[in-house]
Amino acid sequence: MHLELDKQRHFQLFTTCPQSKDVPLELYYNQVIEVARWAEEAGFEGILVYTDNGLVDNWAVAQVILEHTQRIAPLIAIQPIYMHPYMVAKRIATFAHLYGRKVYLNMLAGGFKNDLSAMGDNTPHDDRYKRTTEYSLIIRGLLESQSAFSFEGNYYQVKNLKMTPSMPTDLLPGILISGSSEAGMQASRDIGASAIRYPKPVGQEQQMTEEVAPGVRLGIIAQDTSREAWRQAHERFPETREGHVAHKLAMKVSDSQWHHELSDLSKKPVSEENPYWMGPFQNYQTFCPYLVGSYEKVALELKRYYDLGFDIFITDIPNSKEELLDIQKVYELALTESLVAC
Amino acid sequence: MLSSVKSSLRELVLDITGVEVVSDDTDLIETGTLDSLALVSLIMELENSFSVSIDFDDIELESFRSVSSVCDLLLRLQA
Repeated sequence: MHLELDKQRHFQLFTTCPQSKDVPLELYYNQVIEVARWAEEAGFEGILVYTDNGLVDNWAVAQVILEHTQRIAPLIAIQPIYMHPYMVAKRIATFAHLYGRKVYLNMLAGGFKNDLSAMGDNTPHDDRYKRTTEYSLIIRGLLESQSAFSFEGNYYQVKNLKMTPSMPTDLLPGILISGSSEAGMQASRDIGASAIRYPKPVGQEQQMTEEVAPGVRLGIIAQDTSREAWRQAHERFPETREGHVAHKLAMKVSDSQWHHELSDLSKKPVSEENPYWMGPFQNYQTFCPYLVGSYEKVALELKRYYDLGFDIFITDIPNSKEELLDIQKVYELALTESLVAC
Repeated sequence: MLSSVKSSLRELVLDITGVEVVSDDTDLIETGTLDSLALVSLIMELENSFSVSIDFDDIELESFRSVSSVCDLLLRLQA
């Protein structure tokens, strides 16, 4: 969904692809296709494909999505330690060449700390963002340059490197970057990328003044009534001891600023009237906050995020096509001028 | 009593990970015997099998590094 509210801003909606570790092996391939098609039919702009040491290769998943859909763009998570930026640019150009389709990149600086350590990487938090910045600038430079490209950085150096095949201008990838720390925000400015965060309750977020509009990742459960929405939410994300332990363990091993900020936030109770919910995060069932409530209540909350300057919204892995249609309904309602506080 | 606790712990690790721990001082995390998922499973089994409650706010990951350290943790919690 790419809704143009005014000449200056665009409202972009993405969902998330199922993870291979959550789906039985024999079902995963078809489920990727199914969810991508649901999202495409519901009008989503793109679909996030995760990457970490515990998942199948994200590029292969992105290719499956491209081969079985018409329009939706894979939003491919990119962790620099996995491959040289030249290869990332090559794969993007190859997708454009083979399929004539655009992709988006979700640049990562971090990841699970144990994943990075297992790869021999113990780069400190802020330095990882500097590395991702150089990495992203090389990808962009290779794809945008019609001639040879050179870059001299602290982490990467390329000289007179030319991308073949050349990249059509209209298929240049959109670039997002995960991170809400100052290092992450600076990286987003240096790259010219949209900074994506797991947001705080809207009342605790500041007005965004970034040159490139940022985004948020939020789950959404919306129904005709808040009661039904909350019933579904608790059914889908039951509170378990195992989940609680997993969450606590993750906090012990994570050096991610957002992870700890969200964890601190989850300790503060919110009222039932407030759609912002950290239950799934507290039980290690997902990493994003959720908005739960009636269509109108959730739509109003989304509009408030939009009014703060967030243009990109990435929703959680969907359970069904109906869920994506409910989310589409909420976003369309959020854009309705007649929406009033309820 | 210590030896029986350690024996039970070695069996738990074997059940969860399929790995037979040779030494009670083997670093279970460093050797990859216990990954994140296995560690969560181990903690759940410890709580069920030994009737303890593990409060992560008071406990460090080091407590789960070896059979010996887990045994020490259990004895502290049961005291």
